[in-house]
Amino acid sequence: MPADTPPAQPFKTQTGVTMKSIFKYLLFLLATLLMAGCGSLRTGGAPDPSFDLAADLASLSKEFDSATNIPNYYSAAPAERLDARNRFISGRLVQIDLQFLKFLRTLTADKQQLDAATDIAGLTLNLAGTLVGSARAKTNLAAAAAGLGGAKTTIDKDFYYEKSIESLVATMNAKRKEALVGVLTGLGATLDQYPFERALTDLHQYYLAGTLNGAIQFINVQAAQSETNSDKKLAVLYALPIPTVAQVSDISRLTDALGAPGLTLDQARKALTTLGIAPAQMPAAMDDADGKQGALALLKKRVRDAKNLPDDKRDAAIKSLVEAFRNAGMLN
Amino acid sequence: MANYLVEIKGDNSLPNIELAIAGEEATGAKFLNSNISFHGGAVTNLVTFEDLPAGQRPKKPLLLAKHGDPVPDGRSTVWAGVMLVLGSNLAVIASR
Repeated sequence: MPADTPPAQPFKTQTGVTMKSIFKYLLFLLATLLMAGCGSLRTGGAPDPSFDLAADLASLSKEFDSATNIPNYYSAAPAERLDARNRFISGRLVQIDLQFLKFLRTLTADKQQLDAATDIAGLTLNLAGTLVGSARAKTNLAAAAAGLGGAKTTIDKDFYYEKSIESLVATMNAKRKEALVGVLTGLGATLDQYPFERALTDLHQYYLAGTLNGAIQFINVQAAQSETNSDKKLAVLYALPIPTVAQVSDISRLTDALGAPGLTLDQARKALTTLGIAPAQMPAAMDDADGKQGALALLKKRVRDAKNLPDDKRDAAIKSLVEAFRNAGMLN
Repeated sequence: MANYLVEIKGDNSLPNIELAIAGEEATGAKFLNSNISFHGGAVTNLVTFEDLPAGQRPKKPLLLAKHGDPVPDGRSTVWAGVMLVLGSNLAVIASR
């Protein structure tokens, strides 16, 4: 170091904060984020609830025990029935909501934990496989790693399942909101306008809206409604019939004959003539080189059409094709 | 070549679905995939094929098996998914 070089000083920013203190702060921040991340992993991506669902449900059950009891409503004096109805509705709504929350948390937990754990285990197993000496140990480790890969595939399937669950949960939330509007509107109405029995039905709908079955039913209805449009978009050509093994074998031979290297245009045209193609419609080329359907494409279409005929007509049509191909020297 | 979509009814057994695919492939097409979808007022299997040039067809037939069944030696999985088989969802593996 030259003599006029000042002694090394900790680097300071313009505000006098040292790099060391910035590093300490970043380390602290990183640790905090990691700890928060672990919490997120434990709860399947959802924050810990700030209340105890089970305990709340237990105490609410006691609180609303009489209020959510249907016979109690009917035994109430007529003057007290409006209040009894509203207490019943409020109690049921809270119970349904808490149960729904509890139910939701069972739907999406664990996936992230499994995913992360499997990836790490797969990585370490593969790493160990490259480091151990014996061939036997390598094989065992590789097998274990492959097994974990399989487990990962299963988890990926779970992931797609969870994606479906997410859609279902979104549907449930939307339908619950819809159902809740009716119930809340009813709370402000008189008993004549919104009878207790109607409230019961609406509450049941509200409960159903928060079930997977309810969401699936809704999605099915939507799917059926959009079916007409979907059918237009999906250009489904035909429904496949079930041919016999012998028919599949014959069709394969016909297709192979079309791919025979020595096949000539004359042979193809002869087969087409036997099949009833008029001279005016006869293709001029083997392939579609002239922009029109070639002889091969036309014969292939005939084969496919024959295969797609109903069971009682298919056999005869295939036999006619075999005969025509034979006549043209395309088949033995 | 172009791909196209056909239907295989969901009330068929797995061997019959395999036969239906074999029949289509025999005419010069190659199975690509299958999806459960709405069509013609019912939930069904919509199967995509690649139309091969005239005279060409897959060298090996497609085999369908339940997910979990071993893939026979010398074959490899070409598709895996869910099909409607005998009216129920079934995880299926197609090998060639």
